[in-house]
Amino acid sequence: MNDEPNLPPNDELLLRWIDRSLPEVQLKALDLSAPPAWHEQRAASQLTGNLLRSSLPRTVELPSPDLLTSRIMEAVQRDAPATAPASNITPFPSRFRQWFAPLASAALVAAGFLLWNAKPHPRSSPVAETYTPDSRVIARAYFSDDADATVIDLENLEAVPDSREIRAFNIASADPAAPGEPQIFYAANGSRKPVVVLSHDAASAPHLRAIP
Amino acid sequence: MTSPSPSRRHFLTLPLAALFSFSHAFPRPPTPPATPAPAAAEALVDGLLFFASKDATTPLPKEDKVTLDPAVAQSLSLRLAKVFKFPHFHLIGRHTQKVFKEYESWVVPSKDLCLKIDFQGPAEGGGLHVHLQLWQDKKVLVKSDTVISPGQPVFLGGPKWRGGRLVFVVMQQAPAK
Repeated sequence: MNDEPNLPPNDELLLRWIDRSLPEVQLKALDLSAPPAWHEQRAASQLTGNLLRSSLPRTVELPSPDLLTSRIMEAVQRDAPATAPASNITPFPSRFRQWFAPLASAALVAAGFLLWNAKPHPRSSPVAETYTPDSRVIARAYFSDDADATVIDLENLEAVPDSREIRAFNIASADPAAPGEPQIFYAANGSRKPVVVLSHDAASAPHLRAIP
Repeated sequence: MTSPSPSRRHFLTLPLAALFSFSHAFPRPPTPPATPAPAAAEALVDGLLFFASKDATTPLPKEDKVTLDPAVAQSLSLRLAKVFKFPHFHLIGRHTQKVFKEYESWVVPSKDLCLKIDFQGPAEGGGLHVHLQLWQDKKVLVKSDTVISPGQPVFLGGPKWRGGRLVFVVMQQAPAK
C-alpha cells in the first residue's frame, strides 16, 4: 500500500531523494544534478532527523488516534486567539523567507516531538487518558490510592432500562478468530459449550449473539 | 484551485521529509500473519462485571454460575466500595481472556457491556500498556489509553440500572511462578 501523500512530482522526487528511497542509479544522478536548494533542504531534514533520533526513545508511543485528535483539538481551541491581531511587522525579504520557511517548519516539527517527549508521559503512571465519542458523557479518570486502582468514572450515561435483563456469562479465554470469521467463546466450566459468538458489523461495532 | 507558491510548498515538504526520514530510521513492526494461530499472548486478564447496589437482596438477573476466589472477591468489593458509593457489589459476569500482542482481545463478561483491549507494549512492573474501548451494544462509551498491572486493576463505572450501577473491572492476573 502506498501511504505517502499525493504530492506534485518534483516534491515527491525531492522527498524520495531526501529519504534515500529512490533506485540507486537515480539517487546518484540526483546527488550530482540536484539544485543547491535541494541540497539545503536535505541538510536541514537530516539535521531535524538527527535531532529527533537523539531525543526520542526507540519505541515512541503516541496515543491512539482518537485520543491524539481530541487532544490536538482541545489544544487548538484553548490556544486560539479570539481575533487575529493586526500586524505591523514588516515582512521578511523574500530571499530570506525562502530558506527561513523550511527551517522554521522543521524546527516546529522537532519542537513538537521534543515537547511531546519532554512532558510527563501519561503511560508512565497508572492513570488513564480518555476520550468519549458522545460529548454528553464525561469520563473522570484518576488513580485511587485508597482502592489501588485506576478509575474511569463515566458520568451522564443513559441508564439501562430497569425492565432489561442483563445477560452475563462466565466464559474462558478464546483464541483470535480467522479474518472475517466470528469469534466463539466457550463456557469457563470446562464443558466446551459455546456461550456467545462475536462478529462485527460494517462499522466494526461488535455484535454479540448469546447461544441459548 | 491555485497551486501553492514554491516557498509555501517547501514549508510543507521539509517537515514531511523529516518525518519520513525519522520513520524509516527505525524498523517497522512486523505485519501480523494472515492466519491467527498460534497467537502470542502477552498476559491473562479478568474482565468482571459487577452490579453495585444499595440492597444486598436486589434480585440479580438470570446468569450463568460465576465464581471468583472468595478472598479476591472480598478484596475487590472493599476496593470498589472506596470508589463507588455502594455497599454491595454483586459479581454477575466474568471472562478470563488472553491479551494478544498482535490482535485485538475482546473481554465479554456480558452481552450488554464488553471491552476491547489492544496491547500497546509492556509496562513497568510486568504491567501492560493498553488501549481500551468499553462498548454497550453498538455504542462505544469510552476509549482510553491506560496501564493494567497485576494488583492494580482498572475500574470502569458504567451506566445505572435498577437503582444501582454496572461496574466493569479489568485486572491482570499475576504471572504463573
